[in-house]
Amino acid sequence: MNFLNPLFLIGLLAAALPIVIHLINRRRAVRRKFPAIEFLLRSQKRLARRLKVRQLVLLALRVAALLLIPLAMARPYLISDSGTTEADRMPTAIVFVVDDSASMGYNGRAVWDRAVSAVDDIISELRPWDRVALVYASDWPSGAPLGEDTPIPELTDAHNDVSTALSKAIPSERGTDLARALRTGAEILAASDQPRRKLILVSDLQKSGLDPTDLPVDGLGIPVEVVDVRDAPAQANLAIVGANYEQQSAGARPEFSISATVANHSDQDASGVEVHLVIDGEDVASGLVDVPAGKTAAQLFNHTFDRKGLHRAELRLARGADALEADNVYFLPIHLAQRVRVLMVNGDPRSVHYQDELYYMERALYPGKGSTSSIIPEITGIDGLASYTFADYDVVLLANVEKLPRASVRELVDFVKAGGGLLFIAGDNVNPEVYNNLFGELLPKPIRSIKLLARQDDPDAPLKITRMGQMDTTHPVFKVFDLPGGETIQAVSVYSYLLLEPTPSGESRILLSYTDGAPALLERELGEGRSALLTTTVDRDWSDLPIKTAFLPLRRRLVRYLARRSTSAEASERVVAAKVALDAAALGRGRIEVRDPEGGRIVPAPESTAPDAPLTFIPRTTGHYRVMRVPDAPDAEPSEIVEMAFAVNVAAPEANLAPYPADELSALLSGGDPDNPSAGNATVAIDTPEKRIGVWSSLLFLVTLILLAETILGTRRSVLIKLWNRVRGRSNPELDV
Amino acid sequence: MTSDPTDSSSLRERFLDPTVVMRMGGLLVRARSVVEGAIAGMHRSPHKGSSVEFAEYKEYAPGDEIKHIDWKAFGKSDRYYVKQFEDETNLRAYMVLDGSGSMNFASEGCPTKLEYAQTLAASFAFLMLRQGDAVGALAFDDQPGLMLPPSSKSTHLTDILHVLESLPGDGRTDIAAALQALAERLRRRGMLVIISDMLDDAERVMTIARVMRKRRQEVAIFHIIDPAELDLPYEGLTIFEGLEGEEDLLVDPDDIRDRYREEMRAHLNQIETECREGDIEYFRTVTTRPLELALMDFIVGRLQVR
Repeated sequence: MNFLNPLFLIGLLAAALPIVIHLINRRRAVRRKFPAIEFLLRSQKRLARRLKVRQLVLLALRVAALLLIPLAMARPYLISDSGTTEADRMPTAIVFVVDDSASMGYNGRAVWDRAVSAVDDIISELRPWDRVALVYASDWPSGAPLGEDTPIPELTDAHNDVSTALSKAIPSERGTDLARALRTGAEILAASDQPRRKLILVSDLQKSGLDPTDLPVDGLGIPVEVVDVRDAPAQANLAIVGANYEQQSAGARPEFSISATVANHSDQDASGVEVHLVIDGEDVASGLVDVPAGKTAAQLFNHTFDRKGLHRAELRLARGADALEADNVYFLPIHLAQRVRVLMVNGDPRSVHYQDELYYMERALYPGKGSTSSIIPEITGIDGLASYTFADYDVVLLANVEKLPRASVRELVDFVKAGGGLLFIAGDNVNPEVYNNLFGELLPKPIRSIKLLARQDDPDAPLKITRMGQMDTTHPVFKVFDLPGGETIQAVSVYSYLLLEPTPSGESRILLSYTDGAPALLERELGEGRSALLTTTVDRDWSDLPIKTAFLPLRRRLVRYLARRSTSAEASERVVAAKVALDAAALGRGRIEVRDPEGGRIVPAPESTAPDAPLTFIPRTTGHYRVMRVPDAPDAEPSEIVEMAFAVNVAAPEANLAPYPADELSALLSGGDPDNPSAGNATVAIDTPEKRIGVWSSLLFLVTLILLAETILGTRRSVLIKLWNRVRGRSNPELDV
Repeated sequence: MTSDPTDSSSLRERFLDPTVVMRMGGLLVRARSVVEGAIAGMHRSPHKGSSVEFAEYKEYAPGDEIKHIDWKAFGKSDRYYVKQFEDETNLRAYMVLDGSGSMNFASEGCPTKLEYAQTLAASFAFLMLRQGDAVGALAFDDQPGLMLPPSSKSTHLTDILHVLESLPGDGRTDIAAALQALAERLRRRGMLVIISDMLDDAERVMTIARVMRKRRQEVAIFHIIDPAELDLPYEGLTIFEGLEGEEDLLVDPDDIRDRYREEMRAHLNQIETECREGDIEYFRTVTTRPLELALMDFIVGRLQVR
């Protein structure tokens, strides 16, 4: 016990006074003669024990009162993490800011249960005049309905409402936004007229859940009590924080690479983390990945799809991989493009078919009517190019094109940047200067000149020509050439090719070289797309490539590779509680509905009154969502707009359970300097705060009770009886004579 | 010149309140039952025709038999005198007077119980003698003291007053011993009037009183009580000292008041009950009560018997 005014403890000596008075009183007794002393003696004998006890009790009460008064004046207090201070006893307005984000489901909801019971404990200690409100701290657009997690946004003295609301609530799959919730809580409290107000933040205090810039610079201005309900100081968590896919090849059975990004939010390496790939509900593959502590690692799957269209994929960690299940799965819709459309611009059209620049190319890509090839080529000359829109195609092929209008070049740049594929094919019409000038932004490397090794009719040609040499067999295009028979590409004779300017490595990648070392095929990434340059021709002018067996697979693989790919890159990552906007223009006419993963109907609302305003809604749960067109006819079945299907996942930051350092949090909430947590205008108590519990008021109350007891016990019974009789309106009885 | 306190007149002044005497003047103390005396109309006597010897004159008072008026004396003195004879009064009353220490107590504003008893006894004797009955007295404390045989002589009052005056107001109370001593002397039926505060072993007293009653003695008890003995009205820590040599007691009266009153009530009830059962007249009076009322109770009680 500690004292604020220990000097008053001198007063404890006063406790000796009753004892002294007691002793003096014995001496001051009045002597009185009395005849019926026998009766007195008999009465006293019968009451002796009781009287002695009463006198001792009286003496003890008086001593206790005189001990307690100076003790109370010395203002003792206890340092405790429980109990109520004087301030606690004031009528208080409390806003519970309860974190119901996905991370609160940690350890089979043990963390959430702890949060609920912490709130219940606090509520059980409230007084009837205290008022409470409840705000949830999950990342949820304000104003939107919360579903089962019903907040109590106005202060109420019905404390049980908070308990009841919490008992019905469950940890959501949403992210955390502590700042918004704290601001909301502070606003509720600002409107309260209770003399004491405080926010009680019940959370696992994820650092990722509190954006300091969202808090007022000068703090909330209201005391914040933080109840940390974490399972352990460092909660380990494995999560799939992202997944993407990339179409490796087009065709009837397109091959896709699907990767899952596994994050290890702990301070220990995780080895052999089992990741499963589930396609359309079927567990098709699994793999083990090692994830270093605090890092991410990718697990790559290659999967060949048997059919086109939409596939709903899930990347999952093995069941029970860690304590937080919500982020162990990542939903990924995979859209398989139906076909590859190729626009081939012919720079040297001929009336004789086999002399035409693109004769072999066209045949390679589209053998003819009845073909089941997924590659649909269209050929145009430079003059007719104006009637085509590059964006409608997946690949644009410029074969021996002399030049293009500037507008077309700009369109071409946009096309590539947006994900299109561009293939330059060399030829006589290629003027290096014009090309460098016109297509400089698109070319993998600037062209220096045309190198003529030998004419085809040159008898020494076999000696002068070059052949295809080294190829990058790790590249998707040349992967198959590493197989038996693949070496046939090296039999190609090349008479002329484009010499390229040397450029710093990294901008472009050489996929195929001539035996003299000059690049034959090279590519560069530009925006979302790729451009490639074949430094020789695809007809027989500069090489005999078209008549080699390697031509067909090379062309098709190259076109597929360059084609606007089905990737997840362009698909926006959607997370729970983040608004989803559906492009109304793409949806066309008809009523649109969204089906959530459980099949529940959601009717998205237009964002504004504009005709093309996107339809929006807020997803509540993770999983695959479907967009349905509902026909006006009453009996007609809704049809899915497959290309609009999307998935919703847990926000990646939610997986990182690293807490906000207590001192920084304290400074942040109080508006102080994080380096000096004591600064600030509001008190912040982390977890169970240490309190100075003043006990003097209790002591004084005790003194009052003691004095009351002493008064009753010490007052002459005759007086009490008289008083009692007076209260009852009776006269005092006397012994009848 | 101061008057001798033992002088007859001063004793009368001391023990006989003129007011009381005046008020009681017309009243007569009657025997409750047949006594041996044969005064006409007063006490029926079983000894009819026994010798009568003139004893003295008594001034006529209403109620006296007219036939006993001595007309000769009337002729001489012009006053009515009634002749009284030696054996005419057969009511022989003994006053048993408690002179123990406990009687010598008075609470504030009250006479001591002894004073009250003395005046009561004197008044009683006066009344008895005036109606021609014989009155004797026995003073006692822890043992029988002065004893005065009954006599109806008018001068006997002075003797009785002397006995009253001699009451010591000291020593322990032993009523039973006094009664026992008296019982040895009583040969004829009569009346015993015990005037005491009864602070004695009630059972023992009542036993001997019942014995007396069985020996055809009328027994009446005047129980004198000081108001303080009923209520224990004291406040504050007090050392109580007994008046009859009891040990001291340090106590806060407030603590034991209720208990004391219970004890006292039980004591009074016991005496009263035993008196009733033993056909003993019992008159309880506090010293604040006017004496004539106490006497009136006694006299009225006897009138009712007749």
